[in-house]
Amino acid sequence: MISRRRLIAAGSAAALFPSASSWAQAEPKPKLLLVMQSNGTHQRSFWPRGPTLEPTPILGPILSDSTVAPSTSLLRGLFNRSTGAGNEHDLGFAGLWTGKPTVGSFTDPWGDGPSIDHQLASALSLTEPFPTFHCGVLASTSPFFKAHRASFSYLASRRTVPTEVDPFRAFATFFSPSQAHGRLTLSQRKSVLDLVHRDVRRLAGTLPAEHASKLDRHADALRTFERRLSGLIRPDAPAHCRAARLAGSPLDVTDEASVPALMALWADFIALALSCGLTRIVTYQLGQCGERWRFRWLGIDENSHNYIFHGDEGNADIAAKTTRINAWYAQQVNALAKALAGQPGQVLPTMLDETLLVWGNEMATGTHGMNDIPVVMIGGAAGRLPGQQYVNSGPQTYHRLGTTVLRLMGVPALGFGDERTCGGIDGLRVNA
Amino acid sequence: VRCKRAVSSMVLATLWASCDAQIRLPRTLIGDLSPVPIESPSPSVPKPTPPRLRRHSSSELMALLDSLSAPGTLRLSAEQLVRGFDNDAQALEVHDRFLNEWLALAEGAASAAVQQAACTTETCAHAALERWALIAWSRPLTADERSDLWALAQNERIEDRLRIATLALLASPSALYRVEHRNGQPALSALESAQALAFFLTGAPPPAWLLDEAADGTLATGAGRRAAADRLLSTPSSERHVIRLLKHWLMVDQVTHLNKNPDLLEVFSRVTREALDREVDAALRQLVFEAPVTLGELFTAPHSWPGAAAAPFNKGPARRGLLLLPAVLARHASTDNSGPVTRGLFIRERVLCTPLQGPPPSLAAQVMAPLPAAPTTRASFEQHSADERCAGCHRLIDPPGFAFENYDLLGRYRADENGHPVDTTGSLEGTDVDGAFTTADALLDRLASSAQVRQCLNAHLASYAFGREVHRDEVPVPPATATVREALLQLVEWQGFVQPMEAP
Repeated sequence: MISRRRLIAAGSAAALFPSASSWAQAEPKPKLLLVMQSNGTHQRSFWPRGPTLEPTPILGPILSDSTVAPSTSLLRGLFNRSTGAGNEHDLGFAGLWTGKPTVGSFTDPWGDGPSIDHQLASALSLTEPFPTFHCGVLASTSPFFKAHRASFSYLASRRTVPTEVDPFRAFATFFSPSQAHGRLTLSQRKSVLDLVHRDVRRLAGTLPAEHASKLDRHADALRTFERRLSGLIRPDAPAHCRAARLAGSPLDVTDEASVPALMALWADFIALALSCGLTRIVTYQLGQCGERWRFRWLGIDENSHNYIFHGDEGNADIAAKTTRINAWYAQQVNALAKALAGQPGQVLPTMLDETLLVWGNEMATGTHGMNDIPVVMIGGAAGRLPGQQYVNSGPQTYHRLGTTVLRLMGVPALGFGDERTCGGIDGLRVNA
Repeated sequence: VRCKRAVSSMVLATLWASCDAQIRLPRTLIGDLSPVPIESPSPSVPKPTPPRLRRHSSSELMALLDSLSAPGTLRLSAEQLVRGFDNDAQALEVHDRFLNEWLALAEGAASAAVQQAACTTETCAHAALERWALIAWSRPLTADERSDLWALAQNERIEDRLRIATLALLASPSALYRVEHRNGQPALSALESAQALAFFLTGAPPPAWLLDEAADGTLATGAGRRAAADRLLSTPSSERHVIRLLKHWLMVDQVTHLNKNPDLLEVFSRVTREALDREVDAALRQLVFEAPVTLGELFTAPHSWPGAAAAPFNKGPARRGLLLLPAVLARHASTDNSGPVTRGLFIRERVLCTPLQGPPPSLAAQVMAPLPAAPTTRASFEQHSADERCAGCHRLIDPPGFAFENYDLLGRYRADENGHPVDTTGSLEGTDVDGAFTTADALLDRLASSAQVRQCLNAHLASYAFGREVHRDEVPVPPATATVREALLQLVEWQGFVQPMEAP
């Protein structure tokens, strides 16, 4: 459901609507929502003890939820043994969705992208107004340490997409009618874009491949922008998409105290944006790589990275705090899934049926463990992913997760990143 | 070349005479494709250089709009920072989000500029478009380009035709990028040199007079570039830009967003952070422009700039130099302690340009272990790094960090910590000013006398100028007497500024 607090479905005012292909489809198209958490988890509190998906101290909010649990699967056994620049935080954060080790130096590592969101956008030739969207909470300012930590979405090696941290701005970008109501006509705007497009192509023809590829992406961005122009007005758009507006006062998006409220807003926004066909791939980061939140709203008040996640997992106090924090993350992921379940699908009953939500983590444990990286899949991926699976087939490289996501999204990949033929997740059933 | 210049001059002079334009057009202009002779060969071997694409950064594009007298209320999102700077050539490109923001800004700017021009005749509109092309593209339009832009809305009113043409001008790759070594020549062309100078020293497109000098071949010599740079550096916009550039070097460009322990929010409020940020501006303005000091004295000059709002953070013994600014100390401290290791890394990597390798995986357990309880921060970190496998690097990193232990995580002075006297003694190793020190002031004296530090700052300046990583040994060492202004002038005078070098 749309948040009663801030997101209000308005009446009949014209708004930004997706292109004509978004509704009345014969076959549902899978949507992707990648959620990235930092600092690992408390392993013993995370995984079920038995072979079935019994609720655990951390996963209780998800596995006990009658709406979300049926479409939930756990993937156990994924490891990341790559070596590269930086430490395990960096290798996991920049590597999980690029499939490659980091490059650069210890204090300035970078992903060797592109990340899977941009691989998919390229492979699937997405036609949504915003093919991919990268957002997060408290991730835009200069990180305390290592600049790459502000974004895990990569256009190419060492080139990140800045994280949108302000849901109010995102809402204005996606739902504001301003683009359709400026002083220029649609044909005038298109003629400008055509001229620019021609000049971009001409310039690309004069440059070495390394630079020409940048201009190819510039041309892609122009095409996407042009689609937005022609897709603004859709008389047959579902009512729930029409001129939803955001009420209330903007939040301080740099203040840790805003995190819970920001996450509630993002859950509503992401579900609405996917449901209205405005985007097909959302990448969402819960803070930055190696996040240091103090979690005051949980009654904890310590630099969590330094004094909790780096602590001895066997210590009862550390274990309790790590568990409490990760259970809170599970609540946030569950809220995302429920927000998706509250939105109608374009073909299937709900957006959760059409979406693949993957909750990943840069590491397995706060002490930089890289075995048994916690990964949860939620949603039906448009009928391609049966739920209620607990994959525990022994150690397998994290690259297989990337392969599986590519396949579920419709790309017949053999491997992912540096592991070009690693195959998909061993033991996970998917529908052909 | 002479012929082209004459034609350009004639066309532009005609346009100039026919409209009440306020912006002076260059008296002569040549196209981007015109190579000019370069000064006498250097000892290094010039090599053919492939063309290099550089997208203008968000701040450069905002400056472009300012130059059009069409500043908007919207801003472009901040860029990815690489090595502390926001203009890395490899990192910057046009992606969906950027384009969305830029086109919205460009449309608003086009409307504002057109409204201001108030053209009612085609002649006036053409002249305005030419003026704006000189700003946005750093060159005049070709006949074909002019025709293409003007043909975008043939049946519209003059005002609307100009608005659409201006939007196309700003949306064009010629406004978003500059290409260096377009013809594969070893040295930048005249126009490329003008752009390099202007964006480096003012963060904005080249002004008309600089394009004139490019056309004259003035910028082909080191002396010519130096003279042009001197003129650029005398403008208020350059002052603001150089201050911003140096804040990026110190990595204090986002002090207002610094997150610390929320318990400290009352004393480290946004108002306070803004005051500390302004103090950095004031310090740099004084030390670089109003009462210029040498590069070494940047580390030792007495604090004497106005900063009443930041005064509570400057209590204690009189402070010297940029590194003892509370904002700098707070930026490089941790969120909940003084961060001697991160401060030490800042000195090693940012001030001395001596990067270190990170800890090997075999030391992960030591790296992760929480700091042991100890009477002082220093004692905690010393125990943490006691393992002999850690000590190899930490004996290089930690001492310059420990030197600042008289300053807490917010940059406030403390004579003792938890009732224990603060120990700031240490020794610098692996530099050209090795030796023992007992206080931060003593360390700063060493840094102030270091040629390595001057060369390191030069490398950071060059890194910004070139939009790529520049190692210390790639650039000359500024003399001990050089001020920031002199270092900038010598850098642009250096042949390496326009011609990548390869060892003989």
